Parts: sequence; C-alpha cells; structure tokens
Amino acid sequence: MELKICHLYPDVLNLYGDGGNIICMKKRLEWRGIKADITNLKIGESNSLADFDLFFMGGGQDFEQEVLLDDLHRGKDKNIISAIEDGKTFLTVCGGYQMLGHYYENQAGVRCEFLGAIDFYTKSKPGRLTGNYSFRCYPISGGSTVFGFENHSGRSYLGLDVSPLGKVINGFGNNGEDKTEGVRYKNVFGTYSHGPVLPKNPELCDFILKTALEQKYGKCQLLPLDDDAEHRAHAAVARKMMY
Amino acid sequence: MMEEKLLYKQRPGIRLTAAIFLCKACRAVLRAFRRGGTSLPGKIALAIYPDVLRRCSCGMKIILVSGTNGKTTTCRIIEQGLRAAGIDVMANRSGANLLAGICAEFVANSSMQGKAQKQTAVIECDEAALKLVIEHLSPAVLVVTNIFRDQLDRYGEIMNTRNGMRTAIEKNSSMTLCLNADDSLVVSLADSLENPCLYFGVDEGEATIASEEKSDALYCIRCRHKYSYGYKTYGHLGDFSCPECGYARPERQISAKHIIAMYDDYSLIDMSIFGQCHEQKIPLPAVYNIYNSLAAATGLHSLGLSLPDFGDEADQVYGFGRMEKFNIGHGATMILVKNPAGFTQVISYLSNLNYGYDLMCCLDDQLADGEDVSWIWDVPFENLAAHERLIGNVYTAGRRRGDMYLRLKYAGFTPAKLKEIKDDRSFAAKLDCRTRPLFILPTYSAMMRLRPVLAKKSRSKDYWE
Repeated sequence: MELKICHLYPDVLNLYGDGGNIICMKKRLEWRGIKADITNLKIGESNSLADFDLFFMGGGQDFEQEVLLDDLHRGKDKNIISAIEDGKTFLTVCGGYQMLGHYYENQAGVRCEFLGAIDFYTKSKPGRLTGNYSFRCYPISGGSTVFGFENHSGRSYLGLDVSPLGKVINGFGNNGEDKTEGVRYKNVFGTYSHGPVLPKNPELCDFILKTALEQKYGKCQLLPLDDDAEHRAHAAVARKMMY
Repeated sequence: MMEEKLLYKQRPGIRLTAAIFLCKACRAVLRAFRRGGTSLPGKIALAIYPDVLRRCSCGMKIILVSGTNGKTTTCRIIEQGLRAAGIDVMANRSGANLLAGICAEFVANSSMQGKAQKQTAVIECDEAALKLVIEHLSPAVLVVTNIFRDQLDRYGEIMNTRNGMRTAIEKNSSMTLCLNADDSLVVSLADSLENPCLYFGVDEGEATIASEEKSDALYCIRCRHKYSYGYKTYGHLGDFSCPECGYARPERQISAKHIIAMYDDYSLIDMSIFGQCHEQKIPLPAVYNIYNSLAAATGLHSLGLSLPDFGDEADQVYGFGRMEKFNIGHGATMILVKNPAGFTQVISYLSNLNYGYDLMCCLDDQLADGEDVSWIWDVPFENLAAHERLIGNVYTAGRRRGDMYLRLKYAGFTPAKLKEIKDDRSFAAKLDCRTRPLFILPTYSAMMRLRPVLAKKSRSKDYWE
C-alpha cells in the first residue's frame, strides 16, 4: 500500500512546526510498512492534484497571504475544491483551515475571499485566542481527545449543515463562544490546533491515515504501534491543563 | 508661598531617591536569597518614579544590542573591546533584557541621587521590548543582530517584531545604527531614515537555490516579489536582492571577506574594515558567531574602537549558557536554544563534530521559553539523527520532555538511546561525564535552573556576578 501525500504551500504555510504533521504521518505509515510519498507543492507550481490521496495545509503569516491568494486564484482553488468533493482526505490547520471557508474579515471589516470549499467564514476580533487547549473529536472523526495549542485572532463560524471536528473541553476552539472546534466535511479535517497536532495525538493521526487508505483501498485495519511515548506526552499536557 | 514652591521642587528628588533606594534594597535582598535575574526591583523603581531610568542613564554613552539571536554574545564581545580600551563599562550580564531588568541595572549603577557611576553601558534589549525601552533611554548606538521567527505566542508574527523595532528606531534619529546587511528584515529597519548607518555581513556563502531552504523572509518586504540570492549563509541571511523593485543587500563597511577555516572551537576569517583586510580569529565556533563578532566589531567601530585581542582568554566571551563550558569529567557544554533558527545552527555545529558525545535536550514551556513548544518541529533533528553513531545517550528533560522525546523519536533516533529525565537538577548534580563529553541544550528557564547546579559542580562564577 502507498499514500501519496501532498504538502500544500510548505514555503508559506509553515507558521510553527506545521511540518511536524507530515513527519508524523510519514513515520506512522512507514512503521507499518506502508509507503509514504511526500510532494511539496509550492507557490508557482501547478501539478495536477488528482494523483494525491492526502493533502496537508498549515498556517501562515499575514504578510504572505496576498502572494498565496494570488497563486490560489490561478486555478489551484478549483482543483482543491474538486479534490475535496471527490472525497480526498485533507488535514488543514489554523490558517490553512480558515482558507477553506468563504472569507476572512479583518477588524476593519475588509473581507478577503477564500476558497469557499466549505460553508463557514472567519472574522477577526480583538484579543487573540491563545494557549494549550483540548477538544474531543466526534465519533465520526474517531472520538479521541486531542491536546493542542491554539493561537488565532480569527473566529470561525460554521454553516448549519457543517459539523465541527469536535467539542471544546478546555480553551477556545473555533470562536470561544459555541464550544465547537474545527470542521469535518466529507474527508476534510480542519482544526485550530496549530503546528504539530498529530505527534501527541496518535489516534487522530491514525484515524486520518485510515480515512485516506480506505478511500483508496477500501476497508482496512492499521497495525497497532508502540505509542507509549506519545501517550506520555499526551498525558503530560493533560496534567498541565488540570491544575 | 516660597516654601510651598521649594517643597514642590524637592518632591521629585525624594521620590527619585526612594525609588533608587528601594530598587537597590530589593535587589540586594533577592540576591542574598540567591535569586538572580529578576524584574521586581526595576518594577518597583518604575512604579515609584516613572522617569527613573532616564534620570539614572542621563549623560551616559549607551550601546544597545537587539535582535532575535546573538544579543548576549555580541554584548560580551563589545564589553570586552571597551574594557580592552580601558573603558569602565556596565552591562546587563544576567540577561534581564526587558524594561524592568534594564532599569534595575542602571539604578544599581547610580548614586542615591541618580548620578551614573560608570559612564558607558552595553545593554542587550529584547527585540519586542525595544519600543518601550527606547522611550526611557537615549542610546548612542543600536546594533541589530538579526530578525528570525521566534516564540509566536510571545512575539506574534515576525513582521510584528520588525515593525516594533522600526517604530523604536524612528523615535531616535541621531543614534548610529549597526545593521546586519545580510538580513533583509534588518536592513529594512533603516529604510529612508537619516540615522548614521553601518552595515556588517559575510561576503561568501553556499550557493543555493533560494526556494529549497526554509526561510523566514521569502518575499520582498517592499513589493512582495520573491527574493533571489547569490548565496546564503544560514536561514534567510545572505546576498539577497529583489528582481522586481531592486531592494538589495547594501554595501558592508565591516565584513568577513572570506572564511578561512571553521573549527570546533573557533573560526578564522579575513576581516575587512572599510576595505582594510586582516586575518581575525573568532574565538567561538560556527557561522552565527562570526556574525556576532562582526556585529560587535561594527558597534565598537562606531565608537572608534576595534575588536579586542582575544588571545587565549577566549572564555571571557562565552556568555552564560552560550557555548559555556563546565569543567566536569570530559566536559559539559551548555548551549542555550530559543528558536528554530538558533537551534538549527546548533544542530549543524553538532553534526560537524567528529568525536563521541552525549546529548541532553531540556524543553520548558514557561513564559520566557514560550508556552507553545511547536517550534521544535521546525528544527531539523533528522540531520542530527543521521550522525547518531557518534552520540551515546540522548536525554530529554524539562517540563515538556515528552514533546522533545517525540520530536527525537520521529526524527529517527534509535529508541534505546532516548532517555527521559524527570528531575534534571539532580541529574545535573550527579553528572560526571566520565565516558563522554555532554552537550546540554536547554531553553531559557531550563538554563536558569541547571546552570547554577553545573556552575557549583565546576566552581565557575554564578550568573549574577
């Protein structure tokens, strides 16, 4: 078996350790004898997206956003939308997650048109939502408890027919108001847990990998791995957030 | 009437003396209890007399050093250069580089009436605090080492850091700027300003396709076109230029014309100062310390001085926790790590060693370290794992040792080499380094916790010396 993974915009959407998710997915596939083929798709490069099984998009800085949107609107936007509609698996984090919504409205009320691949929008409000946080994925996304770090001024609001990825236990999540965290649409997993969300949350990682593998090969089981260290790191953050 | 006016005039004097007295007293008490590097005394002084820092620094010649990485080392070299020229100098050696910490240092240097004792100061200043600090100080020289992506939860995006520094510089049009010419973000700080300006840089590097490297500044700060590079030295530093608008690296007055050799302990460069070349020994390893030395040389040059003759006393420039050597067994070396750019440099230094060693990575997540530990995933530990045959044990420690352990596991280290250390202080106290030398890579809080233990073991000076 093999998964072809596409890292979208690693040159600009790489805010803080986002690449850790790629490293994690690759290793967890290889440890199970599954081949992982990683392709970096940067600004200005326009490969067909049809050959890939799994996409990852990280967070970015405001400064490069203009450059990024220019590139997206040169055709990649339509390709991403069709990949999503075709049931391809996506993991999108923070800025990359916001990018899938209709728009981003800054505090001056100026709107930036995003992909509109999923029915939600993001509004910036005063005060950054920052800190360690946790949420529980809904059963349809594996049901695991995820610990991560969020750091965003944008608040995302989901459309009525769109489900969140999970429910906030501690922290802010999508907007700090409705306890929703992230988005789950078809095989897209969007989350505010920026940077390397997967290494400490191996259940979520495996669920995403399984989703992509099943989409390609039909029903499959992943071999269990020795996740002691992963669980220790997970538990350490859990303890930290208790007190 | 007359009396009332007199009283009014006296009052600030009393307040100033009270602020100075309490600041000094608080500092003395804290030190008596061996609590170094604290902001409390400065906070007290500023609360009582908001202008205390301006008063205590009045008339002094101040060299401020700011930037993401290399501040401490640059300060130590400048300080040494000044001393060598017979100038008595004060400095914030403990690394307390926010407003309160800097304030406390100046108060300590002043009389009860607010008169400065030593007349020259070398001060390192946190890049995010520069805006605030510059409202209280009038530096003659500002040295900016570099701007890299740093703790996101504390500094925000890299552009915030750059913009904050720019605002600070705009407030003082007379201070001399000593800027890293190879850093497009730093160069932009002087854009269309009238400050006297000196640039330093490295005149050779690795030819690289710019897009292959991880970079904190890919796009032109003026027009957002992609930079092209003749060569890079590390990170986004190098011979940058924008093909679209022409923004490019300025001429360097002080530069490393040619890197003759780089060793485990030191480097040799052909150093050019306004076109005059000479061979210069940099008594610290790695390219980032060549930059630090150039930064210091530029700062010193603006004062009419040059780099000190380092001689055999190289140890003096080791800032605490920066390549600091402790005399334990085969030796323990502490290298502070704070952000991906700095850590990446440390990795490349370690990857070039040709002897066996143990490694200890201490990751904390307190305010000074950054609460978000995501950044370790931007550090190419894979490069180090490729050399793991030289590494005996790899210890992970600190409050987020679990995250560090995972990072190393996923980087490809053999699991049997990885060991989590729960109590790093007692581990450090028992250290003998009998089989191999040890490199300790701590974040800031971990360094503050471990350093006194190691200093005691090897009987070197305490950090508030």
